[in-house]
Amino acid sequence: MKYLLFYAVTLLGGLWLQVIQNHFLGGSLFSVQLLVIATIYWGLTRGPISGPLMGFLWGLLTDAASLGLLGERALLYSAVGYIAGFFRRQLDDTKPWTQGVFTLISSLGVLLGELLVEHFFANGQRPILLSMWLQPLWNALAAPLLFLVLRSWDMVWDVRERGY
Amino acid sequence: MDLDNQERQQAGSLFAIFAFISFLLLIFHKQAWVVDLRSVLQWTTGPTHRFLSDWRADPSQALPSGSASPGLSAQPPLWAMAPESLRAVQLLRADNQRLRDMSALKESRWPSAIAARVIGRDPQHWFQEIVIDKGRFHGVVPESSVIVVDNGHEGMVGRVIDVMDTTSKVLLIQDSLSSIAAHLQGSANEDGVVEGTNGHDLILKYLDRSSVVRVGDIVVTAGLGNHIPAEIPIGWVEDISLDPRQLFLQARLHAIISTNRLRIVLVLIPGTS
Repeated sequence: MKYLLFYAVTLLGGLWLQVIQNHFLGGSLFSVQLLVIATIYWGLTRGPISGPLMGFLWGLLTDAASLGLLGERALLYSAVGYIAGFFRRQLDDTKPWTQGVFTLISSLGVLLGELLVEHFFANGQRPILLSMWLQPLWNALAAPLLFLVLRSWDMVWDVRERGY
Repeated sequence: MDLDNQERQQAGSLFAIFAFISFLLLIFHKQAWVVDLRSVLQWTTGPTHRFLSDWRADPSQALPSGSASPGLSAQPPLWAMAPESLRAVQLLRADNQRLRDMSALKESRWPSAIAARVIGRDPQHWFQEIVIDKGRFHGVVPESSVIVVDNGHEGMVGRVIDVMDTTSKVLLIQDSLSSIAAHLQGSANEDGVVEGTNGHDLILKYLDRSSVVRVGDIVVTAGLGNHIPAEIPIGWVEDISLDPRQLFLQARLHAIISTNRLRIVLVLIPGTS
């Protein structure tokens, strides 16, 4: 029960934080994809089952809340969680450099994936804006801080050591 | 990768299921069941969007609780107010004025228009689309025009492109995919097409090379077709140049409405307004 509650609170809390971030920083050059970073954290710390699960749910809810294609970010975030999960035992998720570089590469992958998915499924091609290319960089810079916050969140719930 | 085989297989199967579901949603994204699913999922973020929208739109929440007074007579004069109270009062006045303008416009020109609140905006589509809190249940239909009143002026915002049960998606005129038949008022008095630039400005295309268009001329909707009413202001001419092929004149327009301040809009239902 505790773990179910933990997952539900984290899922909705993360989603609301992203919505609030979008509300205040959306359209600016400094927007950060908090849920991509959180999905990477989930994959790196919990493996390739929890990673894609949270990625899929966050992606699906983000798609519904925003104006994008339903299923676009669900697919990409679950892929990010899956790949991060496979690197769980190869990468040290406590090192800021690892967090930043992995987040940068993953965010670029998400961006290219979004362009590719929209090319095939959307009605019109999305314009290439500077803010889109800056976002992976901000994600990478924000990753160490968000990893720290999420690690503290795990400790509050006392769930990390049990592998959930 | 030293994951054990069982975990690897489980993870692979799970990801394959997620990918399959995602592709189904993408392929059938126009189907009613996908639209309905989106409406259901939007319940998770709807309250947050509404709260943020209200928080910005309703400055009364910024008033300190101690300043609440039973009647107007108990209100202190403006000069005696604390800066935060003064700011809140100013915001309330501006909001009140905006609602009065909107209400007057609705009664005088668009009696069957539907007022809607902007509840969502995607950073990735900032100049392209917004989400409003009225949908199929409220009578909104695709291709409805969306306008707004700002500083006493009405202005074209965009048109509805996607309708869900309780929300709708609006394509802003700033989107490069947006194209509206427009009429140039003033001495030129001719028609053209207004297209978005994915930025604040708009482009009025296909003006005759001999056109006498001038900086400052007002551009309004032409009303061609059944969906967009005529005479809704779009913007004013800021700059004039030849188009890349040098066949026509084109004008860069300053939009009447700043889409960054959108809070409450009016949806004009085709055939009723």
